[in-house]
Amino acid sequence: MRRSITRRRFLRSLAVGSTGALLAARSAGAATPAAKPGGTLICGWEAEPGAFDNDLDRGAVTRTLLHNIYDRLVDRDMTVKSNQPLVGNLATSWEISSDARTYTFKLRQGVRFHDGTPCDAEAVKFNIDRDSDPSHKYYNQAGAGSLKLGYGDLASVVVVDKSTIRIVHKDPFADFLPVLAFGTYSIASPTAIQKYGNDEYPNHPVGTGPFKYVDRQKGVKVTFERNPDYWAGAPALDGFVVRPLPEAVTRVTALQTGEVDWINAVNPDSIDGVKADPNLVLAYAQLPNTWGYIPNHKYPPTTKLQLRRAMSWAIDRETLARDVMKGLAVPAKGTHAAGTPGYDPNVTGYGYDPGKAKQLLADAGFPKGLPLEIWIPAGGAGSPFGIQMNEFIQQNFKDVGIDAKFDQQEFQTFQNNMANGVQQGVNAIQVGFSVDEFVNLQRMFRTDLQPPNGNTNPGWYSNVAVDTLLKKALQTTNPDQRRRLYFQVEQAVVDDAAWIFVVNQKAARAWSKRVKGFVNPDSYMFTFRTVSMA
Amino acid sequence: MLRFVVARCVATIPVLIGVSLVVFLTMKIIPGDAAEVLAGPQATKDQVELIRQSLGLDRPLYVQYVRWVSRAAQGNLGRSIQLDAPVTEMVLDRFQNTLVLALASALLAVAIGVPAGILSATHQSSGLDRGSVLLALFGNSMPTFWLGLVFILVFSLHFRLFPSNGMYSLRGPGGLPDLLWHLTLPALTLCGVPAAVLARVTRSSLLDALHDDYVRTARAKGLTEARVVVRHALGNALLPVLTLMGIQAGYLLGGSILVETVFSWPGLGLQLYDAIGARDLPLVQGGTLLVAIVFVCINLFVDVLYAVVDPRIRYET
Repeated sequence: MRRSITRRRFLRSLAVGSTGALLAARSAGAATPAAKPGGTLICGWEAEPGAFDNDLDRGAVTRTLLHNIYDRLVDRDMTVKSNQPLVGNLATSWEISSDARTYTFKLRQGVRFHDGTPCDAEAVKFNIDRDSDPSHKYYNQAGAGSLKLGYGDLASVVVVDKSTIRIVHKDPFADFLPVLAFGTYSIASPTAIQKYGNDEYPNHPVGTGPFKYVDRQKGVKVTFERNPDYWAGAPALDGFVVRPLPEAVTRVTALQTGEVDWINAVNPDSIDGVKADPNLVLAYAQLPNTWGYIPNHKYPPTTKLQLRRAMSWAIDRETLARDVMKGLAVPAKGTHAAGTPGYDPNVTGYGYDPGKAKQLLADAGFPKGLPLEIWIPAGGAGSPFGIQMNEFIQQNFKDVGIDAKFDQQEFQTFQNNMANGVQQGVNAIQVGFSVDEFVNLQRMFRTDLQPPNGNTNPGWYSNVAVDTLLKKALQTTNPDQRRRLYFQVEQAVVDDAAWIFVVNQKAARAWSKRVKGFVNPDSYMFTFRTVSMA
Repeated sequence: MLRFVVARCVATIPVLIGVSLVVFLTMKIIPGDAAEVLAGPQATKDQVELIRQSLGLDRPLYVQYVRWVSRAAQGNLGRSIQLDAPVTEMVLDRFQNTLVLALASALLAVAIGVPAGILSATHQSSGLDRGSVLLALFGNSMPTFWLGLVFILVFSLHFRLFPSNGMYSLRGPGGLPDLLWHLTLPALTLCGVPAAVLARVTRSSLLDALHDDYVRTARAKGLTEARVVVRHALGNALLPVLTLMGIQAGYLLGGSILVETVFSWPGLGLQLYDAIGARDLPLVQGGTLLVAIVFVCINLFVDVLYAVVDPRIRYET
């Protein structure tokens, strides 16, 4: 197959770090045959995955693999594209006491870990105790820190019988189930933990999930094979291999040349090229990511509601998402992105209206505008477009009279400052939060979680009505009633311009047409359980 | 000779202590730590503190240093935070792959640079000389990551001649031919700078030698020009080249970070890149320490080799 390329096209493709022009010159490939069982999927990963602790968050590149090795008591169903329902995973059913403190789970019977040992109530209790009880022989301090949200206030964990476990919280915790669905609440084989010890276990992960961990050649590949005894049916694939390919252009090239079959995080400059390739599929996933600014609610002038609303109306989100972010985002209307479990379609948020923004500024007492000091993480951490987005918004602000000075801070310094809360003289900070479940609202907006009690409400937001709603939600076991309470919170914080919500980011993933059945969920997580190779 | 070698070895000890201090302190000066990474961006302070205690990061700085350096002296560089595995094993394992790449690049650099330098010198001011100068300038100026991407786009994507990543094919048979096939592009990318430098130094050094009296004598004896160059001039001209190779070896190890990342070559450079991204401090410390020690050792080796080749050097100690 001969392909031609002009000098200009070649240089242009280099200049943007893209392979698009080269691809456009490719001829059409052969039609793809139908899928059949078997085959090995080779995946290009954007970084080397970390160790596979069941209880530590080593970032999304590792956490999504936990969903392939392990099960949890309950899970978000990643075989569904959007609004993934909360489903029983190792638990088939559960009862919640009316005070939202006691959870009794019926476990799926006959489930075995990859090492052949049974996954029963004792095994689940072992996992919970290991991450919550300092007297446990295999107590994992780091794991306990990581899972404090779910296991931090346990009163007791009781094995009722072989397939029933009761978990009792000290305080009402109606959001316990969605918390349990998070990847790091995975259930690991107690036998394997005892065999290898806490230090070595993460290199020998044993779960009950659809794939078994086989081995890792560091920097080269991590190999997984089918779990033929998976309780929901064995996957079609023989297995899959994860190859770390940190350089974005190399990752796309490897997909185009057939060295790998599936890649994550397609870089924006390569998207057109991948789309033009007849042998490849490119698909977007809406990430549960909310990008915006947290105003300083403690020190003026951002304590003025009109000013925060003026900032909200001043941003041209549509143009930002379309032109600056090349379609890898949608305008944010409120706290949660569409497609994520916490999204309320009735929250309309703020549009782009510079006239209204100017009027609000005048109402706030700044008819001639004002200067603002905004902290942003260096290098635009949190988004591949961070720098360009901040520059664009700086211009938006300038158009209405807000002279925003962006002060870049090294990422960890920035994080430390978040933990201490936004100080006097700083008017807002830029953040990109992972916001998927309702429970995130508790962490973002509760007065009692202001620093130093957390770093997720660094702007010192405090609203008695919101606090009351949030507390009530934690005590409300009826899912519909709880949802309505959280929707009220979402509307209240949008009305309050508690955050300046800007965009919800997307991810671009791509795969060969030989790969069949992959569901590309609106999530950082995904599963290869449904995949087969043509 | 033995006294010289021992003296040089002893002299490296303060260097190594200095290196260990710099490596350790650099990691401590930068803000943030591994506990914050493991806890995630939305963790509370006490969550982070629990993890920090479990990693021993809450101890005083000097305690952490003494613990780290005394363990390092026994070959224990701690455990990688991201991969939860012994750092010593990990860095040594990956260092072998870096060595394969560095050696291949060094061989290529010599194979390209030295003959180019000789041709340049023996054809001074000719078109060949000017072409060689131009090529050397190109090789020296091209950023390796850019050159690597160009090679990938041309030879992997367009012509489909070489693979774009890795050391062995994931679907292929493996073995030496597969390794050589994967090695070609990264080695070519990495050898650009050393080949260019070698060509320039060989040229100037050989030109000097060609004007020496003993070369005139050799010519007067009626030897062919090729014999004059190869048997008489080249031996002396290659002395500075030897020193230069020592320095370039350091470049090959350091430069491999970019090349390994572009080609996903599973060496120490890629490992360091990943470790920095994941803020895996023990791994960054261990990897940097290993590179620094190897660099010191190479310099020691070159010093000794130089003394062997040129006896005047050891008499001066």
